[in-house]
Amino acid sequence: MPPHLMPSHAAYSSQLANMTLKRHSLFHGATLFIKDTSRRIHLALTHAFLVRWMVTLAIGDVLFVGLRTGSVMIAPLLLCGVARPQAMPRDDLTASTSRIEVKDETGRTVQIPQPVRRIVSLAPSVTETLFALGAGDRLVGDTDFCDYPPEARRKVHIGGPVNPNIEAIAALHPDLVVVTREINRPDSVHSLEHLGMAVYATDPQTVEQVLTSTERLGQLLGAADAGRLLVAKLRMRLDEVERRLAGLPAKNVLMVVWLDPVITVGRNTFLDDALRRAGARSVIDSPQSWPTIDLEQVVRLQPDYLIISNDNVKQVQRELAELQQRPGWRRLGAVRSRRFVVLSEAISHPSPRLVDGIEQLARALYPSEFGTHAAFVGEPRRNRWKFAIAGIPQPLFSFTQTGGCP
Amino acid sequence: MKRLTLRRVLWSCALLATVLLGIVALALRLGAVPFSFGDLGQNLWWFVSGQSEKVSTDFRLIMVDIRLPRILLGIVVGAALSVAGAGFQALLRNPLADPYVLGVSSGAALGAILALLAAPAVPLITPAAAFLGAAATIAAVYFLGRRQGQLDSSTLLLAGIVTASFLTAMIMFLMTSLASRDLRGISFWLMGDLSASLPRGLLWILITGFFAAAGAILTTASDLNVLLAGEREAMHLGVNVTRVKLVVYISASVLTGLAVSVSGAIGYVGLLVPHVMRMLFGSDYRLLIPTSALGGAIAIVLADTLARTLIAPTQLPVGAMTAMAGAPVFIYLLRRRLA
Repeated sequence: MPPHLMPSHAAYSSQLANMTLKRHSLFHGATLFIKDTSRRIHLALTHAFLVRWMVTLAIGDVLFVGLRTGSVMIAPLLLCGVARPQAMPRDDLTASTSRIEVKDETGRTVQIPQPVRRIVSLAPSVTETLFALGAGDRLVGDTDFCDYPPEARRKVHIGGPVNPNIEAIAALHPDLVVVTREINRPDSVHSLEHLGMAVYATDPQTVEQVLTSTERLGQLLGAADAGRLLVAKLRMRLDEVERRLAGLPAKNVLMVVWLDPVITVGRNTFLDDALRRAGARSVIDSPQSWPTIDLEQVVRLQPDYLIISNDNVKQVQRELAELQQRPGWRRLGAVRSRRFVVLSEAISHPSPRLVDGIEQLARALYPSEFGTHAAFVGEPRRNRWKFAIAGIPQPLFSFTQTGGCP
Repeated sequence: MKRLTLRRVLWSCALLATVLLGIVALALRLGAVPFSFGDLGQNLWWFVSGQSEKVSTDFRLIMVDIRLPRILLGIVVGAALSVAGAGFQALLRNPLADPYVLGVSSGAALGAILALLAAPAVPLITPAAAFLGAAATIAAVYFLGRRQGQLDSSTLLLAGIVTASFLTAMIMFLMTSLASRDLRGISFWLMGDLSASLPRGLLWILITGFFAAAGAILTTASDLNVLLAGEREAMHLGVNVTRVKLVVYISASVLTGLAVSVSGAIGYVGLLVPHVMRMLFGSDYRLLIPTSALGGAIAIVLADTLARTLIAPTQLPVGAMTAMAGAPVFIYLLRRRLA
């Protein structure tokens, strides 16, 4: 650890914490309320906001920033300077001495202090993975977009994945910053490295790589057993899906990542691999990761199902209802006979939760192979909790009952 | 019009420098991690008086390693863009000219994109490749913009604009067709982004480059005043028009290239600040160039502070802030002058 990162002034740190705590308690309720409200407005305004970041088109980002700025501008103007992360004193002021040298998934060499006590995550999928590995209590900061599990929302936010606030990250004194190549920028990585922070990058591009990446992250964080166990369970669930779908022909689907313009998945993405494992085959076969496609092409290829991944059920219902009125879309058999599958956002995150998404999709596409599920097709959200308790993930709702699959 | 004296130049610059210092103090104070002015002063005193072992680690990390370099970068970038803008407005005799009008920023962006496609993991590849891209564009536009061996204002302007749109088209093509995952940040870069933390050495190169190029433009300041009356008139009054135009073209382009390569294309500053300074202090280039430099620094540091703090910890792109804050100020000054 470089000398300037060594915490030598405990007194100063705690003074700083006191100062910020006082400010904080004064406005605590108001801050939370405003943050939450702005978040809700923001959620309502943006569609599938994680996937949004994955859609690499720059214009998308620009629009997004515009939307976000518009939606949350007023609240911070009123309370400017309150909703901020605080510099936290370290729990343990003895700096970690030993370091291990590892290669990360993008081939960089990283020196990681051992044990890793303070982690900052720069992507929702990383946050989910860390929680799944049981390292949630060591996570000291995450992004504005980390919303799963719910505890992730209560962590200190350090900005968005594409424009993280370097200062806010530094103030958290992380032992390790975990980024993912899918969302984060090389520039951010360079800046953090330049300040002497250990930055580990993940880069899973298939379901298998999501699993190995998770297991490896577990090893680095001293949670090797938890990682192995987690991954073994996930593999069993994937094998179970594979067993049930064995010998069945894949169903032609269109994964709608974005509606206007239509953006779907290309090959070489974890999402395409996830579709395949759930017994679906994307009608679009593109070398680009997130290709923008012509509606004409969709009409020509006539997918049997449209798949949408979005937690905001009301928004999806509105969009789908609107879709049936639109000239081009009306020509799609899947739209006319309402063969939509709406999944939670699990399938759009390259984290252990991806397996939930695969199960949801497989159940929606092949209800008879999964027995009990058929009763819930077309019933929005009613018995979701019962199944969640039983450990069986459900699609939020799906309209597959009419017409069936040709 | 009042006669320009050294006294007036110094007073105007001192006034702007005081404003800049005030804004820098504010910018140091505000940020995702709050510090009080008391802490700030005490730690700075320890730092200056050689008791740097007393300075807290937090202060050192946040202030010395992150916030201060960012503010310095903002000052240099703002000053460079404004001086370049003032230079291009005189060279092209066009009030709409800004540092990017001749395509330097598009060239830099293309360089940065190609570098990100080829070797995203190499540190500092973005600024290096962006500067190469800018330099290549400067050279290309220079050769395209000549008529009978001399730089011709309207030919240069047209050549620059066509080059810029061609390069922009290339950028759009690359971004949509390749859509490499490492290009994600480029949109932030295109809107201007001061968040990258750069090594000290690079900052010194920038500062040296700025003083060299801005100094070169300043030596031509009195000639630029005459040039505004028209090229033929200037020639008759004994101005070496060819030399002046060449010096201004190269210096202003280099200033733009330096600024763009480290911060992306921050808009409006280079266009608005020289005009605001003209309205406030008159249009004599001997005064306009130093005041533009200071005014540009003020504008960028202020805009970046807003961008950092408005919805902290989320940061807005500084280019959006310069336009949002700059346009109303400009309109106000314009209307007041007309009234």
